[in-house]
Amino acid sequence: MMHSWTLPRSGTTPEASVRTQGGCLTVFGLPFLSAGLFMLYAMIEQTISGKIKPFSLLFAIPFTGVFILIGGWMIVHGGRILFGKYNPLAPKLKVIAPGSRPESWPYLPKLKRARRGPRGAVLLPLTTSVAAGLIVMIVICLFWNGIVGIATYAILFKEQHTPFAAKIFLGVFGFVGLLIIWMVIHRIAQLIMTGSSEVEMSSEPLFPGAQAKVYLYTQRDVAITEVTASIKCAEHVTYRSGKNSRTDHVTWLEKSIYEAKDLNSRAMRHFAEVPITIPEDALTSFRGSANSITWEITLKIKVPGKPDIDDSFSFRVAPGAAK
Amino acid sequence: MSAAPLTLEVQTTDGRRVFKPGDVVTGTFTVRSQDEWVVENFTIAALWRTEGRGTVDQAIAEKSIVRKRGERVPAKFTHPFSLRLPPHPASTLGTAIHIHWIIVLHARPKGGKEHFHELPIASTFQTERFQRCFNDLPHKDDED
Repeated sequence: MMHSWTLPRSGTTPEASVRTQGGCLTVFGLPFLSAGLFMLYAMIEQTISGKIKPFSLLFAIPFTGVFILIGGWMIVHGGRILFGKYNPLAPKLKVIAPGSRPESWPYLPKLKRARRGPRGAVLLPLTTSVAAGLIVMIVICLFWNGIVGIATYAILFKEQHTPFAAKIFLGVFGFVGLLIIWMVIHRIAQLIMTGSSEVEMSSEPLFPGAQAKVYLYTQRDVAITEVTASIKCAEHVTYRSGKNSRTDHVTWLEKSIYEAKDLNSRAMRHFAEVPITIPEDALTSFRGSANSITWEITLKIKVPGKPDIDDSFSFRVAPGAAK
Repeated sequence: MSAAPLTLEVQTTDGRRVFKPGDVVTGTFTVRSQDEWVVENFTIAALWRTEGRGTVDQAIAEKSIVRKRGERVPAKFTHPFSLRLPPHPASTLGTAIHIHWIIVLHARPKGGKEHFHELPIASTFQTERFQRCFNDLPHKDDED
C-alpha cells in the first residue's frame, strides 16, 4: 500500500485558522442565544398579559431552551478557542505508563457502563443509548412541530387571506412533523412491547487475531421470526469542506456472524452463542478529536406484529498479540 | 556564537524502524553547525499523527529535553536517546485513516529559526506488514 511519509512540519500548526473558527462559533452563537431569550421573554409577557394561555409555556420553554442551549454552547466553546490556550491541533503530551490497563489509554474509546452479564461475560453497551436517543427524538419532535404548530395556528386562525401555495408549503412541513411524531411513538412502543436486545462478549477488549464468544439475548421473551447479527469496523473522519465541517464514514469490514430465518417459536431470553474471530490485520480502535475507528456488533430481530429490534453494540479491538 | 542553520540527523540502533507498542526506541542523533550555539529549545520526542482525509490528530507520547534553555552546544553534537512507545495507538494503515509514528528532533538556537528532523517509525504488532512498507518505499525524511 502506497502512502507518503512526508509530514507537515510542527512549526506550521494552523493555530490562526483554529482561532478564526472560534470567532465564527461565537458570532453564530449570539443570534441563537438572543433569539431564544427573546422568544422566551415574549411568551412569558404574553402569558402574563393574558393574551395566550399559561399552558403554552409547556411548549415554549423546551422550544426556546433548545435555542438558548445551542447559542450558549457556541459562545462558550468559541470563546475558549478564541481567547483561551485551547488549540485542538497542537500536539499535546500524553504519557501512558508502561503496563497500564486499556481503560486508561487516552485514545482508546471508553466502554460506557461495561458490566458482567448473566453468562459472566462482558455485557456490551449500546452504541447509542436508548434514553439519549429517545430524548434527542423528542427534542427534535418538539422543535419541529412547535414551529409548524405556531405557523399553522397563525395561518389558519389569524390570517384571512393566506395564499394557497403557502398552505401547500406548510402542509409539507406538517407531513414531516407527523412522520417525526410517528417515529417517537414507534420508538416508545418498541421500548414497551419488545424492549431492547443484549450482547455479551467472552472478553473485551479483543486483539487482532483473537477469538471470542458472543452471546445474543433479547431483554424480554418475544416471538421472533428472523435474527441476523454482523460485525462491523468503520473509520470516521471529520474534515473541513469550505465553510462546513463534514464527517465521512468508511466501512473497513462488515461480516455476518449469525443468521437464523423462519423461526416460529417463542424465544428464550438467551437464544444464540456465536464464535467470532478478529482478523490478523484488523484496525485497532481509536478515538481522536477528528478521526476515529470503531467496532460494533449489529443485531436485527424481526418480531411479528410488534416493532422490530435493530440495535448496535460497541466493543474495542486493542493493539496486542492474540493469546 | 552562531545562529547559522543546523543540520539534524536521527538514527535508531541498527537502523531498526519497526517496533512493538511498549518497546523502547533507542538510537543517536547528531546536530552539526558552523559554530557552538546557545539553546532556546532542544528536544527529542516520539509522537503520532493521523494522515488522510480527516483533520490531523496528533499527540506527543514521550518527550525528552536534550539541553535546557541557555545551555551551550558544541558545533558537532552527538547524543544517545531512548524513548518508550506507549501501548496505544498503534501504527495504522486504514482506508481513510493512517496513523504514523515519528521520532522528532527539534532544535532552536537562541535568535535563530526552528529546525526539525522527523524519522518515521512504526509501532505495531503487525511487524512483517509494516517492515515490507519500509522496505518498499523510498523514505523522504523531512529536514530544514
